[in-house]
Amino acid sequence: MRHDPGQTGQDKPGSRPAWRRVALFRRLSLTTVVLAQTVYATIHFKGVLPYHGGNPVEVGLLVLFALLFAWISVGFWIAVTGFVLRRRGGDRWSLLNRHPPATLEAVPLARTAVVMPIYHEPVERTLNGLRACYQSLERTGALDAFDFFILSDSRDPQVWLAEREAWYRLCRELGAEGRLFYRRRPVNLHYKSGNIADFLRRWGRAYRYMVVLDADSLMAGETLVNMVRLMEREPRVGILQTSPAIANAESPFARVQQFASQVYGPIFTSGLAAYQLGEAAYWGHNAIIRNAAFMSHCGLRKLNGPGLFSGPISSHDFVEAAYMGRAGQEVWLEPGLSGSYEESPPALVEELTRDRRWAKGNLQHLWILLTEPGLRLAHRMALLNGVMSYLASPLWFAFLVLTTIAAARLTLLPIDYFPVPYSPFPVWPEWDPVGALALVGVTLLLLFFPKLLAASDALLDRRQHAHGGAAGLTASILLESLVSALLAPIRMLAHTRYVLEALFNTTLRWAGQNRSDETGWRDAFANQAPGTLLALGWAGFAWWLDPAFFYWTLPVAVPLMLAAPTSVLLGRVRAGRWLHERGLLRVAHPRPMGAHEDAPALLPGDGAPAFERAVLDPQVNRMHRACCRTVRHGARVRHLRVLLERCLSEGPASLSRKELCQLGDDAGALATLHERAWKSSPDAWWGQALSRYIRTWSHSHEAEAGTDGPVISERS
Amino acid sequence: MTATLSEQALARGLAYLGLSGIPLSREVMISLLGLIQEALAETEGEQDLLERVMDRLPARFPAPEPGVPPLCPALRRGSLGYAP
Repeated sequence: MRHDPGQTGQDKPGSRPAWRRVALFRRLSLTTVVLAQTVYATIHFKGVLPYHGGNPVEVGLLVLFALLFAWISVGFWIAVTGFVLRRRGGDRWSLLNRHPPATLEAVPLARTAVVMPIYHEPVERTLNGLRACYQSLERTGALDAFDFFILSDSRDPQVWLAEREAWYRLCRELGAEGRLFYRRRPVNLHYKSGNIADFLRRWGRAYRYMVVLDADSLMAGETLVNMVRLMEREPRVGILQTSPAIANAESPFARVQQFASQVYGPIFTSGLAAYQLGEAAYWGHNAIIRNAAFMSHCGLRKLNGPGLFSGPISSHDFVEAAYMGRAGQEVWLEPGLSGSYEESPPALVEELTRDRRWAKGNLQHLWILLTEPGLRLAHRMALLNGVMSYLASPLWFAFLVLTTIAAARLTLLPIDYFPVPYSPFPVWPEWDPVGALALVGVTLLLLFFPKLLAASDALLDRRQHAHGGAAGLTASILLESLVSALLAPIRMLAHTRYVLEALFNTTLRWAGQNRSDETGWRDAFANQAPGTLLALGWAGFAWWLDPAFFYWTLPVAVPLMLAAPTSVLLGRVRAGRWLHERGLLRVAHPRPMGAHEDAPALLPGDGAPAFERAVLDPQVNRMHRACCRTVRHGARVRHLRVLLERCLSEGPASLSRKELCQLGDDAGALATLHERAWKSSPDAWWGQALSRYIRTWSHSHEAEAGTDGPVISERS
Repeated sequence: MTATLSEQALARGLAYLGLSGIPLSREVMISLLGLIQEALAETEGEQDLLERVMDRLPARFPAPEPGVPPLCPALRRGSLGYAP
């Protein structure tokens, strides 16, 4: 890590930070290059078109082409910049490069909260990750400066009772009493941003910083400590964002994301950080936040526009970064901070489910981008970038539609040799296939050259061994490129649908949605049928229209036709292991921090629902009772008695989710349920539940004791 | 019926003690059997045998009560600022 003694990061109060000049120069350079490249390419594309832009369809094509070409050009130059900077030893203006390790180590730590907002996450997996972070921090010796908070918004009592039980067991296992906390919000206001806001209103002033984790986040202790120290050294920084690498992948789909993240990620992140500098985006997790600044400036109002642009902001992170920037605080992305990880959705279906939420959230930013005063230009561009990440899909879709219309016009309609009014000069309209191929070549270069740069970066850093050697790295890049090419049209169609749904505030239903880890064939065909049929129809129409045009449709149509098998095969865990055994898609950090390997179970594997365990298990019951109050007066008591009797006679399934929550949150009700369940007749509902529970307990007790004697159990 | 209920009372008693964290030693087993015997001897038609056994269990076998850690630290309230 290089240190420039001229840049201590401690600029004089009130002075304009030196990095702003550098940022301005870099951004102007990028804009100039991208614009020039786009103008040149658009002019060339105009020559490719039959009427050279002489009718509304071709004008539409030119506009869409310019937008999409500019979009991919930005990515290309970010990758090139990142590669160059990494070869030069890093960006001297980055936050980490300004402080030598010896200086950072001497910085005392400030009180920091590590918060993990959750909502109906897999309990064991989530808390295993938190355990790994805690233990990693403990090994640094800096645990005393940190507290951990599980901030639950879960509504299903079977989930939040399990969360609380797992929290209790984790506290005892780690000796984390008074350091690991669990808060469940009874009212789920404003989703995740509201969850964080609630935490800050209650405890924000007790901590100088908070580190936000997602349910699948992992952060090494050393990274957490370095982040706090950097924030202490840089009082102008309001948010410091790490670049989390994807890890813990099993399926081929997740392994492809993981490979791309760990191989291509470094150059893209370095380039992005170089252009953003102190006006970076906040990604909502794996970041540290200065509480006082955040609390002062980042309260999110509901939007007051029409349709999509009304109500709470669902994608809050980019907006919070923009508000920080507006208040004069800096937001930095620091790619040099390793030890930060997250997980990929295991299959395409899960990714698209997540994308539906994110598409709506990002499109909402259009309103903020256009109406919110005082935002810095860089943050407006970041919001636009977020919008474009989903808007690019319908633009691409529209491009394909217009291309088809243009081809159909040329083939089906009489040729207009005099498209320009009053011009005596005829025009012979024809496509320029050579020119078109050249443009396609340039486009492919913009898309794939960065992968080559990333591979070179890995080879120059001698990291190829982590990816199966040079041959494994090359084969993996080819495989990743093939998978990306197969997925791109599927994502394009799905995102187009999400954008239309969001903009028109409606929901278009496909045949169904599978939420399990591995997608079944039937569900895959049902989900992908509309896209497959559309592709078949389009390709068929193209073939009928002009066989030459048909071949141009294949790179988009074929992946859509193969969407169902692609979706199924990429979700198969066994296929992922098969690839790994053959040295494909390997990465340096597949299982960081040992979070999920041989982790002791936090919840007993008795198969009992959490509510039953809360009623039947004496220790679990006592724990839950200690965490609740008892309602003592009024109509609520009478209401609870009714629920109690129904639960005792008919079981928990006779109650609604809300009613079960009311029982599970009342200490008196839990005590009564516990006592009466253990005294219940063997024929009663709870008597039978107790029989099953005791049978399971006896078997596990016998296994632990190592006896072969008779099992003592209730006979029904 | 009586024998079946006694078995159930024994099974429940053992499970309750085991789940409460009490080691199931020979002494505990003897004591539990004695408790069931006393409960059986009190009346005939032992429909409430299970109730009587479960009622007396906590007094006969005080269970360890590991403390429950605090759910949350003390509040330190603040507010969020909103742009005008």
